[in-house]
Amino acid sequence: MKKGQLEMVGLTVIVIIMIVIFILFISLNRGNDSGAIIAGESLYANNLLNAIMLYSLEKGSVSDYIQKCDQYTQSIPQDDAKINEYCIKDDIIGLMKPPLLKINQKYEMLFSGECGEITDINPGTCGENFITASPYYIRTSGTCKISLRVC
Amino acid sequence: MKKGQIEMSITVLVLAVFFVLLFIGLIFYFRFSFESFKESQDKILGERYNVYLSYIINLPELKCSYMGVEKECLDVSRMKQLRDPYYQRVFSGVTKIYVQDITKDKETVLYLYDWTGGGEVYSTPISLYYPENDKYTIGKLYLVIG
Repeated sequence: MKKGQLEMVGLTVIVIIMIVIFILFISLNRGNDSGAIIAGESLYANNLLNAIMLYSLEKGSVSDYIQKCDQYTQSIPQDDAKINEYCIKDDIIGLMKPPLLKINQKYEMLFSGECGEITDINPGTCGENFITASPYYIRTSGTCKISLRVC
Repeated sequence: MKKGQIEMSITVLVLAVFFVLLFIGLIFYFRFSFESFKESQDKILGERYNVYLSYIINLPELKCSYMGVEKECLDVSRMKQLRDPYYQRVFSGVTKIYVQDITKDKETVLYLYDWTGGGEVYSTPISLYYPENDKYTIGKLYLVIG
């Protein structure tokens, strides 16, 4: 290989290295500023869960119903009519739709602890990417923890 | 052409190529920087208006309370009394602040203030308390940015 050809190859290698460094620099600079969006979404999720739990139905708020749901689930003998009346999964699903939710927005509502016979709503819908609201706790026969994930 | 002239020409050519590449690099860099700056600006503004939303929800004159114990909701009866231009000075850049009860008919809208103009809208769900019948409904609090 002649000297001129070697210098050309050297210059090309230097240019390629500079381009790679430049692209890395740009991509590193752009990937670290999503905090504001997460903060806004978190506020949204917290307010949404809080509003749902305070919402008044015929005989009290949604959280009152969950409390009663647990109470009637624990009682012996079980009163199925009361359990059906107070374990109000369908009412919650009825509320969780636009305009309260954004269009095409999905969610998971998870119940853990002593929540009676009420079961998780849309479990596994969000996968790995979701915003979680601060858990809402209701004093039942123990504690019922309600978590909301919006995605 | 003498050897010295040839080397001078090569040096000038290399410098010319270098400056062209530097110039192209700078153009790309400033273009990316500008886009990044615009995105940051939008995010900072978004954060500011989310702080406003949070601030309004926690205004003591609007927040519902019973015997001094506060709840995470807005008292509709208080909001009806407080349509005041004072808030326009507090929330600079915001042309409208209003609450819409989404569980009732679409006409149930309460304005904290309503200044002409409109643009981007920020909103958050909120619990609304009606003391006259002791009921909580669900609404959305809207900020319209001028």
